Amino acid sequence: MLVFALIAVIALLSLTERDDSDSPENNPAEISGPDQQIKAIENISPEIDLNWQNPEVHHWVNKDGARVYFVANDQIPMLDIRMIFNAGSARDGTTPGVARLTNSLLAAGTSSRNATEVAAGFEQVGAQFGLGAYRDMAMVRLRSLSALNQLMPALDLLADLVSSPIFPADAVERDKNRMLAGLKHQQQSPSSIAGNAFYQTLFEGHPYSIPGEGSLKSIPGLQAADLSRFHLQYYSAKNLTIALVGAISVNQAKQIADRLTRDLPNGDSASSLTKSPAAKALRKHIEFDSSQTHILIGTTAIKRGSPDRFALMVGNEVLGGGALTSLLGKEIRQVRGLSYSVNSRFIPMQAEGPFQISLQTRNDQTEQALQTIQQVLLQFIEQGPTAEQLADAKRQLIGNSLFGNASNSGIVGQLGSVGFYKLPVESVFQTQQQIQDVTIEQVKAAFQHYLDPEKLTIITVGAHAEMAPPVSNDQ
Amino acid sequence: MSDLPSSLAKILGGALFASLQFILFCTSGYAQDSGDIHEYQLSNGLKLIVKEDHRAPIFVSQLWYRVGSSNEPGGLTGVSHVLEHMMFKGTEKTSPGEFAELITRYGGTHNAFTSRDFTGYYQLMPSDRLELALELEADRMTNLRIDEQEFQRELQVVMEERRQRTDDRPTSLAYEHFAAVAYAGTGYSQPVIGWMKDIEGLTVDQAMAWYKQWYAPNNATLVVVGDLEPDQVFEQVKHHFGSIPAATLPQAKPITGLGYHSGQRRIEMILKTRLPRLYLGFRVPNVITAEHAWEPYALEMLIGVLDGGFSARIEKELVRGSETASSAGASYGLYSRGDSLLMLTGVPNQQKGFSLDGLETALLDQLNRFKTEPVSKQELKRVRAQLIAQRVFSQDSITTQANRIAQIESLGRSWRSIDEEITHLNAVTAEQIQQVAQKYLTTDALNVARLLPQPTSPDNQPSQ
Repeated sequence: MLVFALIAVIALLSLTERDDSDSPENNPAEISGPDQQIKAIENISPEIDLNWQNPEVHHWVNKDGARVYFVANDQIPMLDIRMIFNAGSARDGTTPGVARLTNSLLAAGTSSRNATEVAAGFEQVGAQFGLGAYRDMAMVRLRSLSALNQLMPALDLLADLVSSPIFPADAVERDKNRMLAGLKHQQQSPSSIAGNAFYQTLFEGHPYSIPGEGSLKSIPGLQAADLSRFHLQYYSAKNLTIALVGAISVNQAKQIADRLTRDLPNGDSASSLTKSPAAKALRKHIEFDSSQTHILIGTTAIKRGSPDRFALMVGNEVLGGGALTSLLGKEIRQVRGLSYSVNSRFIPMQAEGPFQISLQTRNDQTEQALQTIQQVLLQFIEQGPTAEQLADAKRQLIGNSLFGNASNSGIVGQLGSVGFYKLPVESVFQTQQQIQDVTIEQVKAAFQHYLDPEKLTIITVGAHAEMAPPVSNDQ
Repeated sequence: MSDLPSSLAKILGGALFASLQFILFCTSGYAQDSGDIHEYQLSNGLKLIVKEDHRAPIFVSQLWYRVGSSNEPGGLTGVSHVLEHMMFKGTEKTSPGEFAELITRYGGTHNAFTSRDFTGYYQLMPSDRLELALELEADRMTNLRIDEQEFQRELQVVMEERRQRTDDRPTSLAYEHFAAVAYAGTGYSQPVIGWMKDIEGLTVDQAMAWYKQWYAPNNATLVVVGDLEPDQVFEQVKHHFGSIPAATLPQAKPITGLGYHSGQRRIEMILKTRLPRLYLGFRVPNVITAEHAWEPYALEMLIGVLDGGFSARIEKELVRGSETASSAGASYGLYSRGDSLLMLTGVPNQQKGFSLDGLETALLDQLNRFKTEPVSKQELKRVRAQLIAQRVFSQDSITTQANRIAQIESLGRSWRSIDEEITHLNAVTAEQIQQVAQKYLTTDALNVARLLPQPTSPDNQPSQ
């Protein structure tokens, strides 16, 4: 109890401090005050030089209709490939889990190879192969040495398993068991419970509400035939983006892309998703025996291609993106010590994706944390960022974007994303300029347009604490 | 959630305190062309390694101190990690939080980690601002101030961190207990983040004393990788760190404790978990502690045969074949100050009627097989190809490159030995794998931990 009392005193002291005009948010002059003794900043221009020669992006649609993106990089003798199908769990329909199961079983055997032969084939040449299905995307990744004697066997295997998977019954059963075990595991993770509840509540009735990992109800009923049907419909060249980065030539990249799509099922690109539901005010508490409460607050927001994306990105960086310097981070972690971490993010997707704020705090601090978040959010929506906050956020984001371009895996991820969301090819390396051009007015307008503080969905998962007021379940 | 490409910055996100033994594959690196690595030493003992990488206009700068949780005396566990947090809370030149603000304001990201052996700090920035990173890092090497109120507030944050990372995660808690037993008598038996009671009782004076003892140029290694010119980096480093005096360092606490064959130990933990889990561990030598240089590589290959992907034995025979495990894995770290643990862990496939007993027997059978039956040529070929390819792939990230160099140098070996790994891996024979299995993976060296769910009651069911 002594500890609790102490926290309360600290929190009070902190509040007083915060109201002091020395606070950096209120008085930008304060920022240069203590910096005086750090000399390095006198010699450094704050603005990041954007005149860096970015690598050339090659883009084409191959003869089977796949969109291909390639960047050459000879420094390391390796090649990264991503094949991204528009076949995520948003396509599950009435059978939650089918997208995930189809994707995870691509390597379980083909018409000419069994599962062990597929895996051994990659592993014998040291190649790394990976699968993943999310809400929008179903992905197949390959990382291989670029020497042809190692690369070629890996490519043959890759083409085989995306084109001719057979979904053997025993493998299907095994994977279903694994998914069921995973679902049980999720039930002991308050953050998973909160995440699922958040999507289910926010996207009620929309494909994004479908739990990608399926449910205890849906998984047992899935059969090999369901997976074959799903594969036939969605794993076609026209529904595919291929991204390649590595030590090969453009001609080799073309041959590789053609080899990968040659035997894919014939099918059309997937239809567009319906619009996400509008924002709604709703609070839901799920009781869970843990010392901390997991909190998610948010709403539906923007599509990936939205022109407001950069204004929201920059604004969010000020609000809660940059963990240690964000407004939320300051108020929650630094001033009040309520949580080890707090962050906010926009997740732009094919349909309007979520905006979410997430944190964990000791059960009895839940209400205080919620109030603080709502205050910070409300104030930010009304006032927007200061000129200085805006400039800082842009530099952080531009810096991050440079770091993202500093590795082959970073670049291949960007290529895949630009291709999948059908953004202009120039935009791969244009992000930095687009961030630079955002104004305060754009940020304010965008936040006011997309975030209504009266219409927030709030999920809490944790143990009901005595010190907190009673939690209500409004549903 | 993963529809966005995860940026490097996000990967670097949370403060890390991972013990190094679990990141074997992530930290593997391979300097293919040693020509672009440059090595310098300041007269005060600070070691500097610069590696050029000009793919993007950025650099990473990492400063590692040779102090971590394994050096902490009983009652003072967690002090290295708390000190790491306080390193962001102000110096004679900077106010609390200003370090972080300046780095991010100038377009960088930064973070720090504490491990059993080391405490490390790093900045990732556009390449024209190395000066800022160096000046700030040099400043806090010698000018740290710890404010009482800041300290108390940060203790609360660290206690939250412990709740979040350990106390609310049954598998983390189970590993903590397992390590306490398997590493009995060594500093590795203490959690990096510290025991809750110890964290609660830490004082400013203790943290300051720890800082003064261990934070000195002759106890540090600075590694810079990126779009920079090495000699210019050296000049800047001399300018900022050159005047900091060397210190007389304490003796690092030896990692001795129980020997290799000190009798079997078993524990059972009943925690708030849904799935039972098994942990098996054997104390084994690594590159730093081995008497015979080949042994660690034979152990690394053995782990690869067991757990090197889908065609490896665990996946092929236990997860798919007999279906004893719903998941299982093996791990071993090549680098740490004291001996490593060779670990196996798994969840029994309850749907197929397997319990922890069945899984334990199956995993031990797998280990015993190494003693009686040489690994096939094809398996050796596969594991070797994978381990070497991983070392090529690890060059993709400048952070991984820097980690690798800093780790090896901080353990008192040269970055040049990274190249020797390939030679060692190429030389490992099936007989050598058999020998290390016979020598180290014995019944009297075994540690077993079992994590069991609490009996079901309405109290620990989630409800809506």
